[in-house]
Amino acid sequence: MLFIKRTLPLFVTFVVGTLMIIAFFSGASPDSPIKRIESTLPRWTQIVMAFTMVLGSLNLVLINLRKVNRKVPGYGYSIVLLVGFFAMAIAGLFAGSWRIAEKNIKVGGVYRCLDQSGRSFSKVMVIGIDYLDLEAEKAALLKAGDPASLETAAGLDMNAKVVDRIRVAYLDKDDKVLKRTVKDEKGREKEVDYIEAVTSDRIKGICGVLMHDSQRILYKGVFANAQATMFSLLAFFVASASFRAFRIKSKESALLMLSAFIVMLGNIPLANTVSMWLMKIPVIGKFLDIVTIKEWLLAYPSSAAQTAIIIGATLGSMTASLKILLGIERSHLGGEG
Amino acid sequence: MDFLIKLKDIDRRWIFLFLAFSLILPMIFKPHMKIVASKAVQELYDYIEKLPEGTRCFLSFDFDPGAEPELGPTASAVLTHMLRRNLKPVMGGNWPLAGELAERGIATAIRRYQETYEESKSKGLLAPGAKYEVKNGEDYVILGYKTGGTIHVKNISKDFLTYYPQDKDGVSTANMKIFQNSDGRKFKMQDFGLVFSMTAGTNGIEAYISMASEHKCTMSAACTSVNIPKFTTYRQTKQLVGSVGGLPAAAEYESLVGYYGTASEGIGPQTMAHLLIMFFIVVGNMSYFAERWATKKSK
Amino acid sequence: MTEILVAIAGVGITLCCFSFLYKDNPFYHFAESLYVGISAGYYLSVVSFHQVIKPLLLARLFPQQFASGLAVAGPSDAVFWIPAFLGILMLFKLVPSLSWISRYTIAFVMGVSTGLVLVTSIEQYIIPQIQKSIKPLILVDNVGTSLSNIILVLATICCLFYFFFSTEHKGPLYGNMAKLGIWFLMIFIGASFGSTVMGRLTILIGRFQYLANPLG
Repeated sequence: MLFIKRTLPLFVTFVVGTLMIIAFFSGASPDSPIKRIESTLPRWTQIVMAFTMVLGSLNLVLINLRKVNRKVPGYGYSIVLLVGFFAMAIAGLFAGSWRIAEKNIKVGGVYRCLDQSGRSFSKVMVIGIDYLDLEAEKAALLKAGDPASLETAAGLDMNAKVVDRIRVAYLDKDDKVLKRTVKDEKGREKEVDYIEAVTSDRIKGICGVLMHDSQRILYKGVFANAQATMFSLLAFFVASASFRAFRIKSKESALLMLSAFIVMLGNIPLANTVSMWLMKIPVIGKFLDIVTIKEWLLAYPSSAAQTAIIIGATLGSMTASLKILLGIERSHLGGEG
Repeated sequence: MDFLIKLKDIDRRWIFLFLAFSLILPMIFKPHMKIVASKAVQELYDYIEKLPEGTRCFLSFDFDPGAEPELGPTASAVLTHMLRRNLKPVMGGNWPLAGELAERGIATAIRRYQETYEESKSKGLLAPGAKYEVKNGEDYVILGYKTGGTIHVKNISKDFLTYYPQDKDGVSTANMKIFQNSDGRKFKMQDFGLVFSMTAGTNGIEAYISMASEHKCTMSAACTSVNIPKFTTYRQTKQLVGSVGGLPAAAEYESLVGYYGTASEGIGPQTMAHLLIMFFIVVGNMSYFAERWATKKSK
Repeated sequence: MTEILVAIAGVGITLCCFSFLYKDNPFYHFAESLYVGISAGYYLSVVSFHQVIKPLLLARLFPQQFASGLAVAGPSDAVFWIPAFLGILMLFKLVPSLSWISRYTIAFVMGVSTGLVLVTSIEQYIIPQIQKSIKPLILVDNVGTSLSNIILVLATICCLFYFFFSTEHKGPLYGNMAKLGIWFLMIFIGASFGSTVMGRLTILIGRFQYLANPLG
């Protein structure tokens, strides 16, 4: 059992990692099996990574459900969290585009159409549905001639009906078609029905509108603002720390503060005024342009330290990768068993 | 002397209040600050300016709302510039909220572009083919987020549209005009004239740098202030063409594009708050040395 | 109407978060819990499902139901059951007694990631950085650039000396170079601190700009 639980996963890492390295260095053509493996494995990884987000969300829900169930102190906040989670998850799932909903769009039906900026809806009537011309699409793919296009062309189901655009007429409050002014070929203005061909994701029923607006309130109103504010609180703590903790206790800390001062001063337009004053100092004045000093500091001593950090960190990550690949480092597999 | 020593124990809420005032006052009085573009910002501006009309550019929104005040103004300024030059921005990202932030950025850019359309035209800032109406799927597209970071960049370097089969709203990308090549060739990542990442941390421009040998695109980046020292190095290694670091650089880009946006508005409060923090450091140290001196004296 | 509700929610939650500056309080905890819940819900539904799992996996397995455009008429690709299977294995982490099953998925992801890191790191990170540090040290007609280049090379070598922890930083050459390395690192950290201050202030300015015009 230990073999299946521990040794085999290590073997999987070794085989997959080695394959990736061999494929990278092999000079084979892009269609060769080894190069196909090199492009397929990262593709799968990308999909698998999406499941880790699902795992994280589900884990959060389970932990908080347990807290509510046991009525641990502060469980009220867990209820708030769960309400927020389910409200957002439901609104988000249903506000997105679904082909099932696309199939239900009927010619003559009245719907709401989302504007291009995604902010507001207009009342519309569907006046027609345009389907893709599969014959023409297939011909274009065959003309393109690359292996991927040929493969797609060969697999097309020519009997399928694929919605391309939905033609809608914009309505006013009394369900009358709105008019708009356009110029004809001779530049004369004339009034025509306000008709537009839109993609199906922009057409929503009342329920879709409700879900979309709920999602907007929760995301744009709560989520984006809460996150930005939480981060912004750090500015206050940075200010407090600069008063209480930024002390010159050694030569090194003096150097750190001098560098910080120059960069802070160089970051603001006032640096030019200060530099003009400093320039009045005889002899050394012309070397005291704050912005130039800041740029020099970033481009030379600071950049050199950064180079050393990048080289060190890269060597470190390569060593760690090699250790993982060879099964020496196993902590990523988790605890016992 | 006693006053300085007592300052050490000041309630931190006073410091918070001072900081808040230092930001609010310049927001009310709006002092005018002269903004001069730095070399790094100018380099990016010039590069975009020289791109041929119709060139598609990939903008990677690798940040979240927490970093939006720093990178959002850059996004809308660069997008406005691209619309004026009739370039076609394709917006993706390696951070989960890339799609939402791109939506916000392009909405601001389109609004500004259309508000200043006639003015820009008279000043000769518009490319000859730049139209007033800007259409999703034809002049720009928002592809949204995909998982994987470096792995995703490796994937799109090999076959772009397979990994972006739909845009953020679920519309198929295969038939979008923006991805059609005039010679009928399938769209590839190499068709981008520029890859521009707005990076707030990991999986930003570094994901594109890691895979530079595969996609071979010209790269540039905007970064949060914290990353400025690091990005200076990438410019020196010539892996990036220009860079936009933090709010002052965003204000510089806004001034190059010719409008007074949120970044330019932020320069006044930024200046005041910087001076306050420098003042705090000086007073904090004076208090520290006064205490040390008093301790030595009592011994 | 929706925009007004968005603004009310936004201003409310912003003030709840700022209330923490006065002292820890239930409004802040309410905002914090709501934020965590909503973000998890958003990442699950809008981000993972609609932007990744649906277009990259479900559209390949069930094109009629989940694909869009021409892909709807395409065939189902059974190979994609493999990443689907690996993804489902990951969810076994939720069952403590069976969490070891998820190791296969983690092992697979680690294999691909480590393979990529090993082949791309030298080319994209180490070589360009070394190239950048190879500079002419003496330029007869430009003393300023010569000095700057000498500092760049010296600082890079000294910092690398400092990062070499296999032996103790001692001795007239090694010890002093490592010490000089610390000084250059301090300059770097100072510059980073200066930049960090600017970053944090910018975010706060963004918040105040929002509060001044929540409907903007």
